[in-house]
Amino acid sequence: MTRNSPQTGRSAPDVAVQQLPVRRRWGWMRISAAVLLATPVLAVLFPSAALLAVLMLPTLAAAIADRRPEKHAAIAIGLLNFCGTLPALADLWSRGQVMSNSLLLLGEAMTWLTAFGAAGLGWLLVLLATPLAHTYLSLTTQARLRALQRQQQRLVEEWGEGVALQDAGVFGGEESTEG
Amino acid sequence: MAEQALNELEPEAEVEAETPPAPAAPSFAEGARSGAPASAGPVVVARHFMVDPRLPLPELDQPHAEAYAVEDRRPSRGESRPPLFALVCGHGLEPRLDALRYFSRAERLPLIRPVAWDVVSWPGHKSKRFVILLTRPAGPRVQSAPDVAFEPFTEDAVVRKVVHPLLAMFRDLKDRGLSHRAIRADNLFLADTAGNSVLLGECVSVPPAFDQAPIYETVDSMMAQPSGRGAGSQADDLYAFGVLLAVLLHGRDPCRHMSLAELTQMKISQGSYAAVVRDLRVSLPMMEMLRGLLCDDPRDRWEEENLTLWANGRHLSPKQPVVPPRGQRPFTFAGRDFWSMRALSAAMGHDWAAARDGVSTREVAIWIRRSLGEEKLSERLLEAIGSDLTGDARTSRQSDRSLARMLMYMDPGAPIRFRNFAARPEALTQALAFEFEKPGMQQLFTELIARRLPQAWMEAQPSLRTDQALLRRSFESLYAFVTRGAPGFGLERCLYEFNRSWPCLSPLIRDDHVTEIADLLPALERRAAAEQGRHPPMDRHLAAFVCAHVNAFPERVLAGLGEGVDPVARGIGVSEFLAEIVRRIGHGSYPRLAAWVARSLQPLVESYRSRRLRRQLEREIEAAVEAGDLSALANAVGNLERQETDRQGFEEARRHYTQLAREIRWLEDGNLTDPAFVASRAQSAAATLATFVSGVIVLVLTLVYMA
Repeated sequence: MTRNSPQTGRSAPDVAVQQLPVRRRWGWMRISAAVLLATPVLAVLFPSAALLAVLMLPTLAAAIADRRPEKHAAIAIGLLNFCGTLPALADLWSRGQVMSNSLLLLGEAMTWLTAFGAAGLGWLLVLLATPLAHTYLSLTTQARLRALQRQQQRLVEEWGEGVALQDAGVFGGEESTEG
Repeated sequence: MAEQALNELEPEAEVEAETPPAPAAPSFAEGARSGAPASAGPVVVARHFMVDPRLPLPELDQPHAEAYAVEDRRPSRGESRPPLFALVCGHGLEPRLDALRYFSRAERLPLIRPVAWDVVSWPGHKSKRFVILLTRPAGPRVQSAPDVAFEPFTEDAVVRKVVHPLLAMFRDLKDRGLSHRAIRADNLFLADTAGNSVLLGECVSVPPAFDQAPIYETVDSMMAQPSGRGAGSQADDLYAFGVLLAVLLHGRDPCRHMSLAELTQMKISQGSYAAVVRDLRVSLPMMEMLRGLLCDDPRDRWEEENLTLWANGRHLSPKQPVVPPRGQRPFTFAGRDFWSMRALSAAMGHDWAAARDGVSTREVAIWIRRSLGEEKLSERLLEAIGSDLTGDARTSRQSDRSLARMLMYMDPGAPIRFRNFAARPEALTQALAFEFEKPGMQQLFTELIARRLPQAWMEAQPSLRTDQALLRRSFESLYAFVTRGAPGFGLERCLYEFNRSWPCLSPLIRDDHVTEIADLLPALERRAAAEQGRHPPMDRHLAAFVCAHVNAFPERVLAGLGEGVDPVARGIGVSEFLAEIVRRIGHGSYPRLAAWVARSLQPLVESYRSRRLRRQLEREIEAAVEAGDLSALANAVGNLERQETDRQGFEEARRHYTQLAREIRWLEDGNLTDPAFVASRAQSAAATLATFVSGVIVLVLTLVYMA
């Protein structure tokens, strides 16, 4: 669905089409930079990376499931998932960053519960946000409508019915075709 | 009008003794007396005189004014005062104000002298009447009515009782450049019961020569209609005096059975002396005087000096009658043969339709050239009128304009004649005033002036007198006024511009007899008391009257009075027009008039879109009405800045309303609660919240581990 803003009247796809080549070019550059930076980090912090790779699986699943380009759901889940992983990561660093400690931590139920529990909270947050937002926006719509109608009423009271005549001409045709 | 010439007393506004009932006003022809109710009491005129409508004096009636008894209540200082009588002037006939002022001071002249005058409400009449108080003659009229015979005067009686007494009057009138223009036997009174002398009757209740029988008028004047004769000059008075003497010697009107056309033809063909004196046997000295006074050429006519010399016994050579050149063969018109141009011109002027349909300019030009030998005149006639003709001039129907111009060339001294109208050029504007309300006359005058016939009359003159040359500017002004149709111009402007003492004929105030600009707004204020309509107090007569009486009235204000402008602009224009009058004549309070104007301004108030500005305007209008301040009213309604503010504000409000409606439409279409939009916003919000929470957790964990 193409949504026009009441203020600008421009459609979102139009903007996306214009920005597409720039975004694509920057995407490749990002990937290249990430690989260059990640390779030495992975080499040095392999135990931590392995621990993160396992405990951050819910985030990977969310990133795959979230089909929106903004990936807001994946971000929300990922951030909380990362928070749930942090205790284990801190424990690894305090015990010593070796692969055996990573495996030892992965063997503890608390580690899994914390990481995946936090990710679950993220999922819950994403799932609850939509009905909450719908309720909020519905209430906002009603309040905004009343405010706008009051403004119109004040204009009519000050300037008479004539102030609305042009409006009737503009929108009357649309209403009649819809009816 | 509150003008009055009470010699010994200061001017004072008129006082009405009783409020008259309001039946329909009869015309002047019906007479004032017929409308007066029997219960009507005396009317106060000029503050000190009581005129009793129940005491008519029919023996002193004038043809267009009725006489009533008067009680003089002026404070007595021991001197004896002459008895007075009142003349109530007819409706639609304006007195001669200039002559009134002069004759009121002429105490020693042998004539009935006006003492005071005033405009009053007369019982039985809706409109006000002009009332003149005059000295009452001791004796009766010499001739009780124009057609009545009386005992003829002997030549000795004529000289002793008439010529000698009236000589002083002619001398005085000449010095002041005035003419009497009412010298006739039925306007001559015996000065005493013994009949040893005579008094001349009044000449001020009607326009100059209005009541004169044709016999007393010169040929050119008698061809004009009574309202178009004009004040003329003393030559006209002396001619009438000569006719008066002849009538007194006859003991009757010698031409009483003749029609106007017959009398005109007789005077032209035989000369006035022969036409008036006829078979009367007179002595040589008397014939000498009558020939001198009745000379048809005004340049050869006796003047006051000649008459004085004759009265003192010095005899002059008798004037020979002046008759127009006779042609070799006649011109046949309407079954009659005419031998002179002047006679033919007069006949065609009297029978306009026959002349227009049956006579062509070319025929007349050929007759003038061949029969009268006037080749130059014939060529001038064809040259001047040829442009008016279309097609074959011998067969085409002559237009009114070309006929009028042809008559001017045939008899340059004759009045301007156009269809059923004829007036001397100097009396054209006076005739316009008197004939203005007669059916068809406005159209006639408009055509006459728009077709530049007065200018054509001047072109037809072989030579112009100084006073005639001065008329050119007046004629050009008439043309300029008539050719502009806007309020403040047109024929109405001609009426008031050249008849300054003429009352305003606007239906709104005509009953108040308003002749001065200072009386206009008070009259409208009185009218406003009975006016409940929403039409603004304005018409063409009001606009023209004001323009004629106020110097350089702004045309910007007049432009707002046009019939073509919308009611709102017209309401503003009327208020500005009245405010301009107030500015010129000084401030005054006219609350009823202001309320009347305010009612007419309701469309303007309603045209304001802004309720706030509308209320502001209403408050200002109410304040102006309450104070009767027409200037404040004009300022309130003519505030252009407020109008512009309202207009711009409305446009802005309309744009804002449209924008609001568009936003409402967008919300009502559910764009804000669309599932995809909601999901997007929800996930965005969730991401934001998660970022915040995770940030807090990271911070807390960092602090814990660091501790």
